[in-house]
Amino acid sequence: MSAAPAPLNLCSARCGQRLRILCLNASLQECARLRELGFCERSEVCKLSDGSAILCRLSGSRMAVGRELGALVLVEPIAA
Amino acid sequence: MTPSSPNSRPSSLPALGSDGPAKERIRVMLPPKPSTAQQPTAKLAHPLNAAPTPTPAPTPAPTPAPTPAPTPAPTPAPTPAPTPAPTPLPEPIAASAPQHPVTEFPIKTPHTRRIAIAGNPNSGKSTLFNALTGMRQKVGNYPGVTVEKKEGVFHGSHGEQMSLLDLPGCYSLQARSPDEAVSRDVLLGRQADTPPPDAILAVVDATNLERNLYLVSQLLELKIPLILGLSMVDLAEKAGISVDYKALSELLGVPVLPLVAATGVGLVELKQWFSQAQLPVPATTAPLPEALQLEIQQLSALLKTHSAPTAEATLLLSLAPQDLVPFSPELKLAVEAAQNRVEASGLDPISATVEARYEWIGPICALTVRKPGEPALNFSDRLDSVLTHRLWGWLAFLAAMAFMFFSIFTLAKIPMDWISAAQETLGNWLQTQLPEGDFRSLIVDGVLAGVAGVVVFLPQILILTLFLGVLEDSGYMARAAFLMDRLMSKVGLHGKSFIPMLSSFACAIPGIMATRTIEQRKDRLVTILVSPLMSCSARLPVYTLLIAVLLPEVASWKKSLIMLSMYVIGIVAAFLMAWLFKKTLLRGETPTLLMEMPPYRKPNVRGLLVRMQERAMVFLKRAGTVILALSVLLWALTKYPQPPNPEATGSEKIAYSVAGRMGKAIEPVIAPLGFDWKIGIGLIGSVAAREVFISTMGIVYSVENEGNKERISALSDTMRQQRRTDGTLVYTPLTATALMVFYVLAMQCLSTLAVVRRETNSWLWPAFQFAYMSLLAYAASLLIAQGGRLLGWH
Ligand SMILES: Nc1nc2c(ncn2[C@@H]2O[C@H](COP(=O)(O)OP(=O)(O)O)[C@@H](O)[C@H]2O)c(=O)[nH]1
Ligand SMILES: [Mg+2]
Repeated sequence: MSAAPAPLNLCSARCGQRLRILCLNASLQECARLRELGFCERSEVCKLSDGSAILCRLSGSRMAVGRELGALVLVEPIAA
Repeated sequence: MTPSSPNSRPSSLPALGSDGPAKERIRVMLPPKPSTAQQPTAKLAHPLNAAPTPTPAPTPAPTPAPTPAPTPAPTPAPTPAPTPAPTPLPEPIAASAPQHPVTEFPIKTPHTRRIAIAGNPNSGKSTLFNALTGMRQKVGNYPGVTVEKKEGVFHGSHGEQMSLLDLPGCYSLQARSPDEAVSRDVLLGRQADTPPPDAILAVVDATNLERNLYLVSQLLELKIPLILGLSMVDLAEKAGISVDYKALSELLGVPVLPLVAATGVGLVELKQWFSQAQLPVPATTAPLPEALQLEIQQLSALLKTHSAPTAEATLLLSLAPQDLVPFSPELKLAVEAAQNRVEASGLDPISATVEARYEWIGPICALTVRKPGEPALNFSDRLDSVLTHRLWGWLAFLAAMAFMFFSIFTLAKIPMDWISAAQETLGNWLQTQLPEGDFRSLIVDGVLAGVAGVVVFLPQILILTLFLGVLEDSGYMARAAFLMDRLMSKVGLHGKSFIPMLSSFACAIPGIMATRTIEQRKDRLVTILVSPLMSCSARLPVYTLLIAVLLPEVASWKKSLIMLSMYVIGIVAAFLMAWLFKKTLLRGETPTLLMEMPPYRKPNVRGLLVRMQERAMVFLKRAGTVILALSVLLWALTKYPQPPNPEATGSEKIAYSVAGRMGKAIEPVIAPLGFDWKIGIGLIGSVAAREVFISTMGIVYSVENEGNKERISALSDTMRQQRRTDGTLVYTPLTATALMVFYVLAMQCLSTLAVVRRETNSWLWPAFQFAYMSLLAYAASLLIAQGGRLLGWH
C-alpha cells in the first residue's frame, strides 16, 4: 500500500456510497470468514453508517464490521 | 460398522487408502473438540446406515400421495415405506456422558424419521419449527438466538410421527462459534448424542438468496435427502424481489417450496414430501476445481467410516493450519500434504472452495432472482442511521435504559403495593385464626415471611423481562452490540459480548448461554466470567428492599438513581474484570466484529407474553419450592434450639439458635463491612439464591418479634428500626450501601454456577468465578464501609 491516492477501505469510504470490494487484506481466517458472509472480491456493498463499527448492506442483508477489520477491506467506489 | 448405505452415500469413491487400517485409525482421528460444552467427536453409525433392511411400514400408507412439492422431486414409485429395522445404536466409541441430556419425546416407533432444520441465523427456522411442531419456543431476533437443542415431534401426511430438530443457525459448516459447531457436528454425524438426520429441511431467506445458498451448497454435499424451504417470501414480494422457485429447483436438483410459516402456506406440501417412502438424495453439488476434487476424493477415502466423508474432506481441506491442530497427526499430515498440492496447482485451498461455491451460486441467482435495481433505503436502514449513529445512537440507548429503570420503580409499584397489602392482610388474619404456638410461627414467620416476601417482587421482574424481550425481538440487541463494539474492544472483547451481558440483566443463565455465538474460546470464557456481574433480576428485590431501608419516603426518582448506580457499578466492574482477564489469565488478540444486523421487526406480543409467563413460572416455582423449603429450614434454624431461659428476648433467642450461631461464627469476618450477625444469616442464606436474603431477613426479624407484634409491618420498616446492642442503628446509610454493593458483586447463585460448569465443561471456572466475585464483593464493601467511616459518614 504505497500508492499516492490512498486506497479506499470500508472505514475511509463515505456513508451512502456504493462500493465494490477489491481485495481483502486480513488474515487467512478472517478472509475466509468475510468471504463466507458474502464479502467476496468483486461483490458490491453499500456503506450505511459509521460509528463504533461500520454498517453496510450486502446483497439483502446488513452486516456490521468492526473498524479494524473494515480497514482491511479495500474497496473502490462504483460510479453512480 | 457398515461404512455406507445405499441411500445415503455414493459408493463410487475410489478407495485410495488401504481400507482396513484406515478404519482403525479413523476411529481416533477426530479429536475431542477444544472448545467447551461439546462432545468428544465419536463417529456414530446411524441406524439407517447400519441396517437398511426395508420392512413394511407399521401404518400402511395405501394412498399414493399426490405429487408433493410444486416441483416434484424424482420420486420413486410409491412402495410400502421401507423403514429401517429397529437397530440399537452402537456404543459411542468415545463413551462419555452427554453434555445435554437427550430430551425424551413420546417417540413411539424406533424408526421415526428424523428431520433437521438447518439454515442461516434469522432465516425463519424456529418459526417453521414452531409451525410444524406446535411447540412453544422462544422466537428471538438477533442472529444465533437458537443455541439449545430444540427437538419436537410432528405428523406426516399419513399421520406417521417424525421428529424435528431445530439446529442452531449457521452461515457455513466451517463453524466459527460453539453454536455453529453444534450444527456442523450433528450434520456430519460427529455429535455423539445426535445421529445425523434422515432428511434436512434447509431454510433459505428469499430476500437474501445468494448468501443463504452458500450453506445450501455445503449441505448438498452431505448426501442427505434435502428439501429447500424458501422463507420470507412475503417480505421478498414486498421488496419487489421475485424468485423463480421452479427454475431454482431444477438448477439445484432438490425440491424448493415457498413457505410462510405464520399462515401455514406450504406446510402441507412439506409434510407430504417428508412422508414419501424413499427420500431422494441430492445429486447436484457445486463444481469445485479439479485439483480440489481430486484431493477431496483421496481424503474422503481416509474418512470412510464417517457419515459424510466427502463433506468432511472438503471442510478439512479448507481449514487454516491452526484449526488443524486438534486433529490426529496422521490426518493432519494428510490434509497438509493435500493443501500443499492444491497450492502447487495455483489455488489457495482456504479460499478456493468459497470462491467456487459463489461462482456456482452467482449464475443460479442471476437466473432465478429478479430484483429491482439499487434498493431504496428501507425502514430498517433509516432507523439504523439514527440508532447506530455515534451520538444519537448512544442517546437512544441511554434513554431506553433510563426509561426501563424508571418504569421498574413507578409502574411496578402499583401491583407491588397490592401484593404486599394482601400479604399483610393474610398475615394478620392468620395471626388471629391460628392458635398460638410453633405451628403459627412456622406459617406466619416462616412460610409467609419467606415466600410472600419474595413474591412481591414479581412485577418488577416481569417488567424487566418485558423490556429485554422487546429489545431482543425488535432486533435492537444487535444494535446495542454494534454501539458497544468500540468500547468493548478497549477491554479486549468485541460487540457481540455485550449481548450476553445485556441479557444478564434479566438472568445470567440465558446470558451465559448466549455466549455460544462468540467465536473465540477465550473471549467466550471472559464473557461468561463477567456476565454475572451485571445485575440480574434476582438482585432487584434486594436493591429495592435496601433502598427502601435507606430512603423511606423519598420521591421515586432518587430511588431510581440509586438503583441505576448499582447497575452502573456492576457494568463498570464487568468491564474492568474483562479487561483484567484479557490482559492476564485469558490473554488473546482483540477479536473483530463481523455480525449480521437483523431487520427491525415488530415484537410478537404473544411471544413476549409467553416469555413473561415462563419467567414468572420459574420465579414462582422457585418461591414455591426452593425458597419455601429454605424458609422452613431457616425458620427452624432460627427457632431452635430455644434458650433454657423463657424470659429471653427475641434477639437472645435467635442468638441461641443454630442460625444465630452460624451468623455469629462469620460475624468477625463481616464485621469490618459493618454487617452484624443477623445480616450474616442473610448472607449465608443467599448463597443459594440472592432473593433468599429477603426471606431470611423476613424470618429472622419476625421470629425475633414473635409475641409482641400486633401487626406485621413491612420488612423495610422493621429493618430500619433495628439497633445494635449499643443502641446505634444497624442499617446506617453506609451499611446499607455496603450491603447493596456486596450484592452487586458477589456470586450468590447456585444455578448460574451450575450452568457455567456445564458450558465450560469444568469445575475450575465456576470455582474461580465464585472466588473472584466473592473477593471483589468483600473488597468493595470493605472499601465503602471503612472508607466511609474515615470520611466521617455513618
Ligand atoms: N415476514 C415474515 N417473517 C418471518 C417469516 N419467518 C420468520 N419470520 C420472522 O423472522 C424472525 C426470525 O425468525 P426465527 O424463526 O427466529 O429465525 P431463526 O433464527 O432462523 O430461528 C422472527 O421475528 C420471525 O417472526 C416469514 O415467512 N415471513
Ligand atoms: Mg431460531
